[in-house]
Order: sequence, then C-alpha cells, then structure tokens
Amino acid sequence: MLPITGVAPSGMASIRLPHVHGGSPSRQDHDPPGQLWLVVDGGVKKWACLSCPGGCGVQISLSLNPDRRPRWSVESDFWGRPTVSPSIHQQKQCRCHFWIRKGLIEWCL
Amino acid sequence: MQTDISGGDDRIPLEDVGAAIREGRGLRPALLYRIVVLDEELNERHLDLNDPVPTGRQILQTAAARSADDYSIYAILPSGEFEDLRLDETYDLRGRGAERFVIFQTDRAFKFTIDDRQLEWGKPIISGRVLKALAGVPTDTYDVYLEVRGGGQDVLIRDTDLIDLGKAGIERFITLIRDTTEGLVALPESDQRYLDSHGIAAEVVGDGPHVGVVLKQVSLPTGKFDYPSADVLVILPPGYPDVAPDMFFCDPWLRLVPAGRYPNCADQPHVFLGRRWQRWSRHNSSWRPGIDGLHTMIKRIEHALEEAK
Repeated sequence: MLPITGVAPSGMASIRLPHVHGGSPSRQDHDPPGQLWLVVDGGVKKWACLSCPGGCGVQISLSLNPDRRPRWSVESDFWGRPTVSPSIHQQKQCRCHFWIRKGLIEWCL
Repeated sequence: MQTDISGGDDRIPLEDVGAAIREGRGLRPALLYRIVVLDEELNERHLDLNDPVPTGRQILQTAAARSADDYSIYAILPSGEFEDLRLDETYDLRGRGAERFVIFQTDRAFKFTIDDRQLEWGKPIISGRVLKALAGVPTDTYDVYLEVRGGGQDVLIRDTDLIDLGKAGIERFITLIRDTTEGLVALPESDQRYLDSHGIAAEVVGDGPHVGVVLKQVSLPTGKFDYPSADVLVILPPGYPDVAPDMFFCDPWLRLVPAGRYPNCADQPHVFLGRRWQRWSRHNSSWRPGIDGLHTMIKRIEHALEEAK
C-alpha cells in the first residue's frame, strides 16, 4: 500500500492552485483539469474543488471546515504547489484514491 | 371523527405518537394522542388530541389557530417530505410515521437560490430533502448546504432538518456531491479538550459506517439505579458536530431502584460493536452548530439520568 507518484489515467500529474474569492463551489462546474480551486469568503477557507484526476472528471468538493468530518486542509508552498491532507478517496465514479503533495498526484494502489 | 377503539376501559391516559414511531410500534388506544406542532418560526410544542384520526381542522383548532381557513397544515414525513392535510379530511396518526406537523399562513412566497437558480417556495420552512429535490440532485449521493457569506463555514442541512426561510441570511443553498476519505477517526479538537480537561475516559469507536464515543464508567446518581456506574455510548451522526447526536445508550442495562424496572423509553436494545446496549430514547431539537458538542451531550445525559422515571 505505498503511494506511487505517477501520471493519472487522464494524463494529469500536477495540480496548480488558483484562488477563488467568494462564490460557491458549485459555480465552477467544470474546473479545468490540473487546477485546484479554493473557495474563500470573508477570509474563511470553505472548499477546495478539483476535477477528479482519476479519469471520470467528476467535480470533487472538499470541505475545509475544521469542525466537521470529513475535512481536509490545503497548504501551498512558495511556488503555489498545493498539498492536501488527508488523502482523497472517491467513493463514487472511478473510486480512485490519491494524495496531492506539492502539486503532485500520488496514487494509493 | 372518532373511530371505534376496542373497549374504552383499557385506554392509557396519553400515547406519544413520536415515541411509538421511534420504537416501531403502532399506537395504543389512549385518551389523548400527543403530536408535535411547529409554528412559522419552527418553535415546537406538544399538542394532545383526543382523536387518533383527526381532520386538519381539528388539529388547527386544538392548536388555536385563529381561523382555520387562513392556515395550512402539513405533516412532516420521516423522509423530510411534507404532506398536505386538507381541512376536512381525516389524517390517520396510526401508521403514517409522522408525529410532527407544521402550521402556517398560506398567502406568502419565499425566494431563495439553489446552485444559483432562483426558486420560490410557498411555505416558510423547507427540509434538506425538499431542497435537494428542487435542485434536481439525487438525495442519497448529494449534500445540501446553506451558503454563509462574509466569514463563516457553509452549514450542512440533513434531509430531515427544517430550515426557516423567513430568517435573515437564509437565501442561498448549494448542493455538492458527497466524497469521503479514509481518514483516521478522531473527535473534533474541542471535544477532545473537554474530555481531557474533565478527566472523562472515552474511546472513539467505529462500527461499519458508524462512529461512536464510549464514555467509560460514567458515575450514576447515587442510589437511583441498580449499578453505581455504566458505560455510555453516543453515536456521532454524519456531519457531526454540525449535526446533533440523537439518544444515548447504556451498558449494563439500568433499572430504577426500588421499582426494579427500566426507566421510561429506555427498554429497547441497540447492538453496537457486538454489545447489546440499553437505548435511552431522549431527543434534542435545539442543537447549535458551532457551539454544541460532546459537552452538551454529556450534560443532557447527566440530566436524563438524574430525571429518569
């Protein structure tokens, strides 16, 4: 069960981090692959959104609310490469399971 | 609309429709049948009807709505859907699974958006389930949230949660597909701090999809029960701590001293982690997301044990 860094089935291996201010996650119906959107409103980080890198392309919205579960946190480094923890396990569609670390998709196999 | 009930003599004084639904049994013949009525601000109160098959008008009159014709009454079904009661049609409380009714004036419309679509609803309250239906998303794979603007987290609305559309700030909803992780089971930090600072021994446990907290050997009110202490289980619903835990469970099973019987609404088993727990059917409708947590639940449990009859 070692995570493996590699190219996703969709050919996507890296994630950049644009910021979104205000708005709601459902508004970005089609997040461009390879980008992680943050929904920030009033200084509060609410959601992180991305297209599923597992090939199904479904829009994933991760709750950044620290007070409920499931919850995730997003950090980005000097180059804007996001790290999301914990891992993301898609329960639907393609059922893929991966980490995003320093902008790289690491698959859990 | 009194229907014939077998022999008037064996009727109990009061039957709680909600308790019967939760315990999965039919209504017993009774002199009074207790339902819960909500007003437009979602304030709940008990209403005792002398008829298990009332008309909408009977309920409205018992609730003292000034003129029945200006008001509507809906049953809130267990699924979170609403069922319209006609004024002069009977509604059989025995087996509909509805114990809660909402009453409101009929001539208003409430506007809000879901996923940026403008919608209108003719009632001041709406449930999570109806919101999802209006948004056109599958109820079992999507969550609906109240969007909070200007510095707060969006609030999860469960299928059966009721939302007051008349309140300021209740305007925007979003639906999101549900995803989960394989994260470690952990309590919210504030809960963990509370347990640590109060020296309460607790264990977070998982049983399939369900997560629970077992409070170890909770001291019971002196001399009240046949044991001095018991393990108490609280099951954390999905969405906790935005969402209230319901009921609690004890092991061993507690009997009242000297009566030697189980307390009211505490005689049903619930299996969790392979243990057969005594289910204490105690409910709470005033949970404050962001404020309430395990500390609230522990206070409620202490109170319920103290008050057990």
